[in-house]
Amino acid sequence: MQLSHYLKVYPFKDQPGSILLFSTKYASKILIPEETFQAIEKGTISDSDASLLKELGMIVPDAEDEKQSMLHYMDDINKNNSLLKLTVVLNLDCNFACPYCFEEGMKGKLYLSDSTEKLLIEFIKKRLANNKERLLIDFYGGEPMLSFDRVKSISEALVSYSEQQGVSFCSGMVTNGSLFTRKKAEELVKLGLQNIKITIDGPAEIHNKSRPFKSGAKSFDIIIDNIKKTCDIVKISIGANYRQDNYRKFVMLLDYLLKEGLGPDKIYSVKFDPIMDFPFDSGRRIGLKNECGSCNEPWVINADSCLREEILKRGWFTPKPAPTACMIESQDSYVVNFDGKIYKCPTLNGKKNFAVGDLETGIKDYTDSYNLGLWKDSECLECRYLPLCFGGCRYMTFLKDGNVKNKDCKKEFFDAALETMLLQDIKYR
Amino acid sequence: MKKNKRNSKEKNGIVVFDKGIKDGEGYTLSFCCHGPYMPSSGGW
Repeated sequence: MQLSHYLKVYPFKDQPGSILLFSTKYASKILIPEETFQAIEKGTISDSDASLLKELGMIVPDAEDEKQSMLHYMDDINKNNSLLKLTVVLNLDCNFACPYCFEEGMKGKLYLSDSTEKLLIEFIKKRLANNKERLLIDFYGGEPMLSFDRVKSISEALVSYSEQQGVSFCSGMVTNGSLFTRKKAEELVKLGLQNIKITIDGPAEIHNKSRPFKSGAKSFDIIIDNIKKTCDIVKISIGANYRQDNYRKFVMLLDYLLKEGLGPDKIYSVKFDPIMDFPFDSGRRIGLKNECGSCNEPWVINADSCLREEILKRGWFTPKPAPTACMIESQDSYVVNFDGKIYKCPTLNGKKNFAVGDLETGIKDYTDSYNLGLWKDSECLECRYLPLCFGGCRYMTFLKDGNVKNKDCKKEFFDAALETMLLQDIKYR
Repeated sequence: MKKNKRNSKEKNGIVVFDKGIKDGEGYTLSFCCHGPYMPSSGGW
């Protein structure tokens, strides 16, 4: 047996003589005596240790074979995937005026119609017939709560059909939270809504500038009030978008949430993400200047590490490093726009050349348009971070280059940040 | 504040902090637009 190629090895200062091992392919994490580690390298490891390490994916019969097997990794996962996941863009309207919104330029009074809803339900029925056991719908916008009646009618149809077919159905929603009242939440929970993501951009003084109503009115207190009134019936994740000049103040939001009784027992998870001025080519308008940030920026690595520590320290869940790929790689995972066109990623929704079909005519081949499998080369196969990255985010590449030909390599980020994340998880979980 | 705790099991001096995921354990891979734990999904 040999060490897995997709393994990161770190010193562990808290316990001299021990080494921290993390499998990027299986997300297993162990502390191992140096002599045991040397025994693996020498091939003298005991049977009982070998059995444990094999089970954890830390050692493999042949590391070269393991690398080559990664070429089929995604195919195997897709073959065994029993989940149909659709993100449904109910509208491109919003009651907020966030200056960094990536949908700016596409927005308007654009809503999913009755006829598109019928096509959507039929599309789902056909897809479920392909041996699917679970159905997950993420309601998305614009602001999905502006389409409250549409959420209800789609959910009603799917609850009924899922029950008939013995399929497990649940839904989620990405909402700004301003319209998510107790009364409406109760109605949606009865129809399968299980989790929502609400964005709060830091303490009130920052949030109210960053996420105001269209009228300019403040939204912070309304959102917090809705969270307090609904967190006992729906799983709420809080996201937040920080900038280089304000991220330190986001700790104040965490303390505020605790003070208001919205601790880890009430809020399922907390995660903060960066926004920044993105390199912008005026000759090729590919987005606003204030678009999503790249995680490779040095200040982002530092800010993320600091904020992640503060979140974990206070006991909230925040995601762990684990095998992850772009949803483009997942078959039976689609984004349906309000007009019935189908895409593979919410951020590329509505972008020219990225529609992969429509509800009426179905899905066409998108291998080239999304550059599927761009990670299947020696550079990525050799990279120990491959299972955490799979070539990165197409949208980041699109923002930089105006196309998705190149990779969005995360090596720099992982080199700088992974060890810290692992140590944080050991310390606080 | 959450206390520093070690949620782990030890065998032959090997401390297992996280057993991770296994082949065949259903859905073994998260699919997300940016990677749920990476700081790159700002703005939406």
